[in-house]
Amino acid sequence: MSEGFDGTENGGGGGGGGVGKEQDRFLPIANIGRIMRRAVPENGKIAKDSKESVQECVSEFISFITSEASDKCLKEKRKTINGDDLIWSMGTLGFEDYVEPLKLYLRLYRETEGDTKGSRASELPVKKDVVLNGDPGSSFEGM
Amino acid sequence: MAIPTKEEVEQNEEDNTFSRLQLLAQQRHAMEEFWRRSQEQIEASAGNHEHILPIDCVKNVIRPKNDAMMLSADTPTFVTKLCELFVQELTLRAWVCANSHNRDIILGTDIAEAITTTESYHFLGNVLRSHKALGSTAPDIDTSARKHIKLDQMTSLYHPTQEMQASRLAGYPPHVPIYPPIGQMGTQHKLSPFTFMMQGESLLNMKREKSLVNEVMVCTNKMSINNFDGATSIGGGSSSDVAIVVQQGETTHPFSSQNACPSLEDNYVVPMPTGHVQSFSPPTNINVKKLHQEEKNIYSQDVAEEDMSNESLEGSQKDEDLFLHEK
Repeated sequence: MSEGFDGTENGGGGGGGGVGKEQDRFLPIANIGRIMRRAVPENGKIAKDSKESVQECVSEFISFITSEASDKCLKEKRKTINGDDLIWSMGTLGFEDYVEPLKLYLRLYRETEGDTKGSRASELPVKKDVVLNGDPGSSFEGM
Repeated sequence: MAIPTKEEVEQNEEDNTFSRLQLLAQQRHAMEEFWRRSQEQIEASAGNHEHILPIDCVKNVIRPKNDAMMLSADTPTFVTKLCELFVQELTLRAWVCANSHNRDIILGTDIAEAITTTESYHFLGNVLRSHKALGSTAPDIDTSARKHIKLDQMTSLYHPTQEMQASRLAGYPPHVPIYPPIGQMGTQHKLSPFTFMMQGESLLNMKREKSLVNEVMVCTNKMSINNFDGATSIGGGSSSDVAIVVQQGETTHPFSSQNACPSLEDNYVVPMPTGHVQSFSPPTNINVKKLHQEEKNIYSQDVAEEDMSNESLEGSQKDEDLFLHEK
């Protein structure tokens, strides 16, 4: 009895994993629908098939941009893709309209992230050796 | 189907190019507005990095293509924002396409049209091809617009009311005389007894009005119509069965006329229309005499009833006069 139960459980887990891998290719359709609704007026409606189309298009778009940025990094013998590489690839691939807003976004993001990192660093206690009489090895011995 | 002329083809092409240019102009105007607005939003939300798209999902989409490469800390967040802008732009272009077709719903076809009309979206051609292969660009049926039958209408369909049942009974029995086809003039046909009764009454009425009798009814057996004195009793509530109570006390189905009138015989000849009298043998004197006799009886009954009613009226008037005099 227990063996059969274990078998079914394992089988179920394997099936779920397969579905998960398939779903990893796309972003969640509910979130995409929410973003689409922002761009459309209140009287506008969005069909399900259009959401599915956009879902596929977004995944294709990400792959298209990141692969170009990846090629640039390989040419320059770097192993890390950053925001500047993505902005460059967008300018190259004909998405010039995206460049200025995203440059602004990246700058503001780095400033805010830098501020938070800086504040965290300043909060940490810094140990400093007290130097007395110019002799770093000596210690103050009181009465 | 007529082949269009060269001028018509050129005219259609001009119309198509004009509409396409108009669409592109509308898209350009909408996109200028969109980018200006998105720039303002980014400036306004300087320290706010709330994203609708989950960053983990974005990482999963990026990772398979770039296993060799690593991502900097700001890349997933940046790509998330990038995707938001892309989705909004594509949706806005599709919305312009939908508006150009006088629709307020964005379909898959509008997304496809937005992709084909934008040069920078040509890399999405394989997505379009896959959608065409699947046939998913067909517009969805709007289920919210379907009109459903109300519940009370449904119940009235399946459980007819008493009024509806009575109206059905009123149409029964059929009052229209049934004539045989022209090729079968001399043959006998079995009609329902109710039909026969009604035809007999109509014949007598015609005789009373002293119109020419063109239809002759020959009865081989004597019928006693007075035996049938049935009253229809309609079942109350939601029951759909209607019963006819016969004088003997037996309850029968409304459409079983043989049970309702057991005394009526089935042997009779169908009355003929006026145009086909020649094919019939002329009516015998006995039958005509019988008809005249019945007619006289009816007249005498009518006269007697009128006399009785007049006498009763006179008597009532006399009583009223006496009563007034006494007062």
